[in-house]
Amino acid sequence: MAPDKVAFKDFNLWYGEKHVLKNINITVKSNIVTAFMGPSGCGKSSLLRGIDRMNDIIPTARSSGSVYLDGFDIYTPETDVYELRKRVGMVFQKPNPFPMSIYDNIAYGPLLHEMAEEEELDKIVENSLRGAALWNEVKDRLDDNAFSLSGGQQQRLCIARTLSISPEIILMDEPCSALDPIATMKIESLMRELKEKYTVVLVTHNLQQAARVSEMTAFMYIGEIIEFGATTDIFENPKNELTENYITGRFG
Amino acid sequence: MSRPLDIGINQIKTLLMKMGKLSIDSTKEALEGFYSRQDVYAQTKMWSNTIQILAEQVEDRATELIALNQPMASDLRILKAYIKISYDLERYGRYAMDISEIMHQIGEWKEIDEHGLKMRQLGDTTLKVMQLSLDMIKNMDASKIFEISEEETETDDLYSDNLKKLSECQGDPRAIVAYLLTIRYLERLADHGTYIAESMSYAVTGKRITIR
Repeated sequence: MAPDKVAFKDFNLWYGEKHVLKNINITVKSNIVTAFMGPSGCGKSSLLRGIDRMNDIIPTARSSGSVYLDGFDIYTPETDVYELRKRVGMVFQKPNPFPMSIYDNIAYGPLLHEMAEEEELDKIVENSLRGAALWNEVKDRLDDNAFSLSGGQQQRLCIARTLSISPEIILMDEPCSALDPIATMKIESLMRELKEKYTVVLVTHNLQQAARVSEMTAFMYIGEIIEFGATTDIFENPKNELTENYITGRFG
Repeated sequence: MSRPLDIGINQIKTLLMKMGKLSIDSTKEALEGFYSRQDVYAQTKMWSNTIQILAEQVEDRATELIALNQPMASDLRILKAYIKISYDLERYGRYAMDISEIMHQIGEWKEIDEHGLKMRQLGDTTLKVMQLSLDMIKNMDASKIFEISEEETETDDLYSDNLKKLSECQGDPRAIVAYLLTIRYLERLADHGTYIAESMSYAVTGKRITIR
């Protein structure tokens, strides 16, 4: 089994008075897809954002406990969150390309982080677009505005943008919910490729998607991890009645 | 809250119960035919064909439910079990028919000395296993698997006993063949009872228990 990439240890999160994550203890292995599922408001996106400390930008958020990345606690005062977010890329529900050319969308990150000289950029852009299975579709129109792409292409552009700064982990928060079935299928096969190189964590409402692409699945309910295990077990033979009721559509 | 999937699953269960009732009727008929040396082949064949048609309906309906609803967890397990069980019930019907087909093919045999043979005992125990398996489908009661296992072991023992006795039996070869095939079919019928028990047990509990 692959080593632990991320480990939550007694992690709690509050938004103001609201206790949104309760005593989370869960590990995410490298080079597989781990899915978080659960009804709306169960805390799955908050959990995902615990990995790149995106919750920090919510003024009322406070946390306790630890999250370890490769064994190092990322919730210490010494942690450089910008450095952290270079290692942990994120893809959101709605594709959000920058209002600039396809090329610049990808080049933006490496330039910002001073990771590349101008002359290396072409290579990074190409590799990132290839990694996101978009290169063949856009190689002749890299100067076009990113908004000229279809929704599915825009989402893959956002994945390419994430890849451009060579992250170790890719967080995906409902990456297909705004996409049609064909675009969804492309992103799903992309996820299967991405896990060869990266650790992928996926938040999804779509049970079938979690079943199709992930190796491990966590079911969350009102801020708690109810069940975490091999995806095949969770979907064919869940141990917990809440999980059973949720995935058979009896609530949620 | 009732889900569309529940309606479909219940429809399939009703089909299975119908198949189960026909197969018990058919096995009783075939055994009566055997004991009283009467040709009931036409009747059991008709029932077997009906069971086969119902089995196809189960398969089609279950496949449709899977395709349209993408069931998970216990729903998925129960549909998997139903598809498998429809085949077991189809075999119930077929073996009942096979029993009555013997006389139809080789003709009426001369009575043999049944002393020491336990034909009725084997027939009754087999019917009991079959009935228990149907109860399990009806009541979703996983604990019945152990009772079925015990009864099925009993049919195995009776089969071995009868086989041994028959091998030493003198008399009309047609009778020996008929008895031999019948005990074999009965033993197979009880086997399918255990398969049904295993399928239902897994569907209900999610744990695999093998009793064969």
